Amino acid sequence: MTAPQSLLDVGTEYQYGFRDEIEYVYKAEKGLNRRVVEMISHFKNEPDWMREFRLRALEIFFKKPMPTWGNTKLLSEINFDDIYYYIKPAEKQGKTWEEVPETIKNTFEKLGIPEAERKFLAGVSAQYESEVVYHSIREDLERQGVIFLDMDSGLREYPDLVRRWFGKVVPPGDNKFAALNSAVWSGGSFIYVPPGVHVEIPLQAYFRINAENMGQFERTLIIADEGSRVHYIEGCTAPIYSTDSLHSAVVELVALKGAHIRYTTVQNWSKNVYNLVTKRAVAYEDATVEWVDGNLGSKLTMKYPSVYMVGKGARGDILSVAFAGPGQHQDAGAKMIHAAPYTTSTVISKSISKGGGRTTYRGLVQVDEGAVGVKCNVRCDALLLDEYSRSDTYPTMNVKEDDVRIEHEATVSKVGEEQLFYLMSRGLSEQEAVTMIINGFFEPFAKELPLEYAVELNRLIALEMEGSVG
Amino acid sequence: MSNMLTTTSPAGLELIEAISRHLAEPEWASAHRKEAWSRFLQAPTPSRTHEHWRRTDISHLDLENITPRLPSEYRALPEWLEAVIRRGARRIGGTLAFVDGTLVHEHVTDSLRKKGVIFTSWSQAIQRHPDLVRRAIENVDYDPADEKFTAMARAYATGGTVLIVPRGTEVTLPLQTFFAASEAQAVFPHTLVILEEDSRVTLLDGMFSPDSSTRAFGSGVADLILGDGSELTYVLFQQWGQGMEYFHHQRAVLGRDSHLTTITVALGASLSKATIESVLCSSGAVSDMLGVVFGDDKQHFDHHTVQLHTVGNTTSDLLFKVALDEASYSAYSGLIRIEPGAQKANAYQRNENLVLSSTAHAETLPNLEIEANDVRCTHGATVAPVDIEQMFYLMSRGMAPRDAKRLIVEGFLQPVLDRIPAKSLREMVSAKVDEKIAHRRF
Repeated sequence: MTAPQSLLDVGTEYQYGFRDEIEYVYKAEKGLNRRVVEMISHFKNEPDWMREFRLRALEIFFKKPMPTWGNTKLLSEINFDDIYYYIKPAEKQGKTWEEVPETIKNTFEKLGIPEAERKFLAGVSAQYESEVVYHSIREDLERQGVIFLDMDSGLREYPDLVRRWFGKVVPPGDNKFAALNSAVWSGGSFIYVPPGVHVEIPLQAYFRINAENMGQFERTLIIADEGSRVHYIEGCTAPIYSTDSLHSAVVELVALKGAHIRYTTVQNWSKNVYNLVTKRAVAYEDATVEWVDGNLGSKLTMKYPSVYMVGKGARGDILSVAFAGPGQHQDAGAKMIHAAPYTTSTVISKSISKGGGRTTYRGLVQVDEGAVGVKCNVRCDALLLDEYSRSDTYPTMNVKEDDVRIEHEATVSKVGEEQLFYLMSRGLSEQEAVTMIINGFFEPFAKELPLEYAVELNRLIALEMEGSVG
Repeated sequence: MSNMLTTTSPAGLELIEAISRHLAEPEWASAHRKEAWSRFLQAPTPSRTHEHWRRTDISHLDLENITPRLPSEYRALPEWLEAVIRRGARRIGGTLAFVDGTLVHEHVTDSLRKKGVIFTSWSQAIQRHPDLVRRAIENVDYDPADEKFTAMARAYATGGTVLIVPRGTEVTLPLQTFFAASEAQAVFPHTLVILEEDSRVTLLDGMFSPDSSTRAFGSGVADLILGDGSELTYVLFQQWGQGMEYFHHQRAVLGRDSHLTTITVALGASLSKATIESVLCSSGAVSDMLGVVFGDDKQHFDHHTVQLHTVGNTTSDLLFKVALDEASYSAYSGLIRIEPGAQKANAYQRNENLVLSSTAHAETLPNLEIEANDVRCTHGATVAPVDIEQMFYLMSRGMAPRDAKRLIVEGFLQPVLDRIPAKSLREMVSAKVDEKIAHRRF
């Protein structure tokens, strides 16, 4: 059957596509070379080890070939010489909202950042191009010793802590884009939660690309000390340009013994952004790491959040939701590395493709020798809304131990005609029925989001369906 | 034909020509061989950087210097192979046996001949039915990932089976071919099956060699062509000796409303890598793929299956069961691919791994690529040890732990073996599997 017109309209509206006219404090030349990297390091007044780390990473980036797997056609269209690797939007970071330059403030007002903070959040960080322009944290958390800074300030103020973990979870040689990020990183969040401290309300970071041909390379490091808890949420948007932008982040999470980290992403880049991100967590004994990863925007996303369970009883959970409309390819997934006994993990992946969009689940479950008593369950569901779209599932399970239980299941289907029929027989229009089915499909994801974001997600889906009713 | 040949080693070319001369092949057959050979030389030797070869390391193989033995005029049926045939299935419609590419045994029942069924060696088929064979091999598709090996197999093929079943003919008794390799030999088994409209047959290809650790090499191809409304059951029974390193590429093309059942049973060889592919390119085609792998020692298995739906209203099902003991390794990778427009395709894929020792290693990669929306595609994969509750139950009935484990392994694999339709073949294959299980100490 061909999809009803209503379905073909889903995802065609992008509400964050506006752009600002802005005078930048500093804009590096286009293209990538030693000079640019040294300049970034110089500008930031970094210690020598970091400058050397960057330059070493740059060499690795130049040496490593582009990936030969995934959407090699789209990847080959990235022109690394046509990208700004560093743009400084403001002279200094704002501590209060009033200090942020007017244009940037307007942008984030439009995106609802300070409102979100007022209503709900324990701390907020907002990054514009290469630098964090606004930052705040609730005083009570600060008093408890919780550190929530942008990565550059983290490096300045806590050099030992940063040096101990930075680039240890995701080394520069891990992949070409991790090497790129390691060479030119700027901004991102640095979080440290002291032993036993529970940060009950989420910390939030907001990332905005505004300039054309911009490359944003934020770097986030979260360390949850023994028995602590933290929830971090990030959101991202960009204007619509005819040329492409590149977002290539590295996120490193360290969950020490008994700690619990939840990392939620609502990725809503405009459809000209390449989103090539490396996200990895290490979970020590009895620690839990949860990745809640929603990919709605971007042109090509390649992102496989992973959990290395290195301590007995560690746990990893990944909930990945992807939506691909016309011209989009969401190549997302999960990696669960069971390197210690009695570790458990679950992966739930849900994707919807429409209007020629393509979703890919790419995953790895690995059980190392000696990791007995491991349990892992992977479940992938894909919905195809029309005959032009595509869905792929590429899981890998690599098991080197016998006393383990690994399960993987996946289905690909269309919106059930019986479900549609049932809802329409209750008086819903086809449009409403489909919206309801999609909402239901995404429900496990929405359920995991803070209310603020869940409302936003529902609104987004409703908006995408708008204009197709009546 | 290709003039790329001029740049190649004369020794290889001479051998190809000698094989052609020896088999008195017509010009077209020898040209086919030469083309395969030039493709073999041109194709790069696969390395582990290639996704399809990531899990199997062949860097120790010097492929350009592996050559087959020239087929001889006559070679006696070796005793051990005679014993295999004798102990094998009864009630068989026809048997062919090759040793190192030379036909050593041929038996076809009269009733089969009367029906016009062609079941004979590759060289005889080329002489007697040139048009049919020519048409089939001219459409041969070289899979790029396996080209080095398939081209090698086609260039050096000496022994091989051709089975052609005429329109509307049902062959009730199963047919079997034994491909045997002597110690330290390189063999290139080749099977061509053509089922004309509404015909029906069961064929088993059995692969055996003495259980010696001397290194041997094999690269085989099977081309299965199913005409409209035909039904084929194809059993690949691989029980090479432990020194064998074997590569296999099987490709079935399914006509309208045809039904293919392939059953791959892999027990032998130190290293075996196989691609098993069904191309569902006509409406109503149905492909059932089944597999049983049982590994021990340091055996290395790498099975890749492809369920390719190029048109709609096609159905495919797959069940691959792998049991691994000691330090054996199995990689199963499977692809369900639904091409654009193939609406109302229905595909299922399931891989189950039973891991019996902590040093065994199982990898499973069940992949889906779906480009049509009105489809139902599902896959599942599991890796698990022997179920403690089942063990407990059997032991509480007085069974020794090792017997209980044996029974559980048999019970795990049997559902696949039960799908072999011909009783005689089913019993033969089951007996061999049970034999291997019984030899395990657990």
